[in-house]
Amino acid sequence: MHARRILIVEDDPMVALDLEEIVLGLAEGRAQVALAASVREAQRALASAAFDVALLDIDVLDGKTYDLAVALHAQGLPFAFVSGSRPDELPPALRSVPFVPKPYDPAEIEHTLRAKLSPGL
Amino acid sequence: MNAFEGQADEAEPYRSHGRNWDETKRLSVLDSYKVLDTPPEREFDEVVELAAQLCGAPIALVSLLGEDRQFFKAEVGLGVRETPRDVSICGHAILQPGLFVVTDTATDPRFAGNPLVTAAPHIRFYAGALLETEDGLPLGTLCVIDRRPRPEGLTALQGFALQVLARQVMARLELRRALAAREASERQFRVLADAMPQMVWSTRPDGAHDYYNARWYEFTGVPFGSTNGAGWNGMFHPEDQPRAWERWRHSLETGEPYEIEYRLRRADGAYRWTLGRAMPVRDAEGKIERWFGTCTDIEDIKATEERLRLSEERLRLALGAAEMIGTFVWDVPADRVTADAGYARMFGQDPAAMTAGVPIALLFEAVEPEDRDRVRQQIERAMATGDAFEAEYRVWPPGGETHWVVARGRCAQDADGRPSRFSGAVVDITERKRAEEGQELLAKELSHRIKNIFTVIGGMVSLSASGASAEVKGFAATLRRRLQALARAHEYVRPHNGEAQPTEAATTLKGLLGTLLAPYGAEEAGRMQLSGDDVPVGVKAATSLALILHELATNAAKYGALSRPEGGVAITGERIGDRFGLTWRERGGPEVAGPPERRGFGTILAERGAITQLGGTIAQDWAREGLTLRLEVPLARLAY
Repeated sequence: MHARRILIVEDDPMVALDLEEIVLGLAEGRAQVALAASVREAQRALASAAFDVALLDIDVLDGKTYDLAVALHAQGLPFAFVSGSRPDELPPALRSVPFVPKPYDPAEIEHTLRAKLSPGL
Repeated sequence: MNAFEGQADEAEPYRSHGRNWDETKRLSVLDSYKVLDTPPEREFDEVVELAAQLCGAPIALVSLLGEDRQFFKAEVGLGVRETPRDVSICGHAILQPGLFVVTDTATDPRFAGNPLVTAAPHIRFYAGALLETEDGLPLGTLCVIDRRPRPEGLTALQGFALQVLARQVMARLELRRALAAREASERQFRVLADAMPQMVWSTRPDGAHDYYNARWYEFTGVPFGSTNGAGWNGMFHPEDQPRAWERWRHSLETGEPYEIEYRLRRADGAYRWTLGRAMPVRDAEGKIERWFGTCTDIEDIKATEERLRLSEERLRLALGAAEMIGTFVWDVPADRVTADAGYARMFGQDPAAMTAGVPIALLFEAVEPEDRDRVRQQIERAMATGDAFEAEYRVWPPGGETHWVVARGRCAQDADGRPSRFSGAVVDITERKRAEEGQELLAKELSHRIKNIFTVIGGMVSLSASGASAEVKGFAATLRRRLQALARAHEYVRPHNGEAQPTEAATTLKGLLGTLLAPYGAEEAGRMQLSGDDVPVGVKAATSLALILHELATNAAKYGALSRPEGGVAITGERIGDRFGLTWRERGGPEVAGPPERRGFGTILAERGAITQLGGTIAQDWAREGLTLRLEVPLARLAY
């Protein structure tokens, strides 16, 4: 996997760290991870840097990340939902987005990042 | 004076000559006067006495000719009340109209040999006036008789008087007959009236009661005659007396039929509701001559009516008070829905319009659009099958708020099997729905939290091993995967509101296995076969089984049948009476050399605790071709 910038939007610190560990382990150190606990933080991060891929929790500190997801999609930034919600609770427009249910198997996170988001990842 | 006309027939002296009556009819009419063989009556006695004196004769008779005798209703001077007909002179007299006079019987060939002439009473003179009905039937004579001949006959005055008296006798006989007929008629009336199950009474035109039938006296127990006049009013309930009086007075004045319901006192003192009715009988000029009436006991009917009225009132109150219920009737052929105020309220319709009836399309407009198709389907199904109708839907009346309702009903079919009348009730279930939604939200929240906890714990486990040795990292990974299995089991038996979401399938063993083994992907490749009986499984059993199966699968993947592409696992479920057996059979893996001492096997032993907690048993067979493991658990414990 090439060096990549990965944005993780997750408000639970434990889960955020866990995801970071998983991603870093996958990238063998050649990745830079940014963590955002809210939509606002995520927007700040997106404004200040370019990212290659994002993992989105759905319920964060300041609400749902649906609008953010729509924005990322418009930007063409690959992302996946990592969430305890059920896919059928998503708005219809977002139901085709890759979705990893919580609790996740770390292998599934890896699988998703590799296969579904970017063939070159 | 001999008023004799025509010839008498010697052989049959009784046959009429030139007359239009026949003897049988005459006899029957005579019989109707019911005078033969009756005792003397003063009115007739006076007549014969007067006749005798007027004619100066010793004997006078009111003579009635029966079939074979003549009977003297009144007689003076004769001493007997009947003589045989064949020797009667009256028998001849009735053959002629007017007066029949024989001045000297001894010189009349008809009578010269008659024993009444030749011997006592030695009749020599006879004068008889016909007793004749209005129809011209002769019944007999009023006659005077003398023992000496009278060549001069009767004077004109005597003759006239005799005829007048004869007409008086007839009039008297008519009167007697009419009186007797009336008496008979009254007797019949009384018998009829007493036989009727109702009370019968009658009054004079002025309203004074003078007749009650036996039933009245039986019912009221009053002494005979004590309620004549106006005494009847006292038999009524005090509250009803003025009203009844008024109504009766009105009828008497106007001649209108009388009808009223009142309470009548029975012999035992109880008041019974009674229907009183009366009609007037009018004479030929239309004047009322009598009232006839009946009293019918309607206490039982009234009691039933009262119960019904109370029942209806309670229902109306219940429907009215509970704003949440309404009833409707849909006349299908006419497409008219009528309903009560509660229903009107729910659908935002004018109650008056709902009483008159509206087409069903109008009510559909109040149904939430999303629900319309479903409701329509349910209605059509009920109409086609005649089965009970039930549908939950939202009603959004114009200008009002949305409410959840459940409608239940049934569609009756006419003789041709076509829907005729669809009736039912609609109940507001908004509260219940809100509660259900609340429960559903709680269930979702609970599910989310459980998932979150497992996510966090999983993260903690990995993070705790961060920077540690490979062995520790391995342990952490193993633990994490166990937690994952447990989490899957919890998600599988996720609490939800079963009533609100009946489409959620019940949790079963096969379903659980499917969920647990999905990550392996081996089932898709056909390497894991699930077969046999399925069984419902509850939370505790699911989590225990999840851990066990996770270990079995992990080990099979590491060391057993799933470590080789050609290996596979067959999982079979079996109900045996009140127990359930699950068999895990690995085949096609590396050769097994007895119970292994592999790492992780201890966990199976640890899981035994769970099995024994479920009251089950576990047995392993480390055959060379692969492990066969069998666990048996009581069905009852699996459901828990």
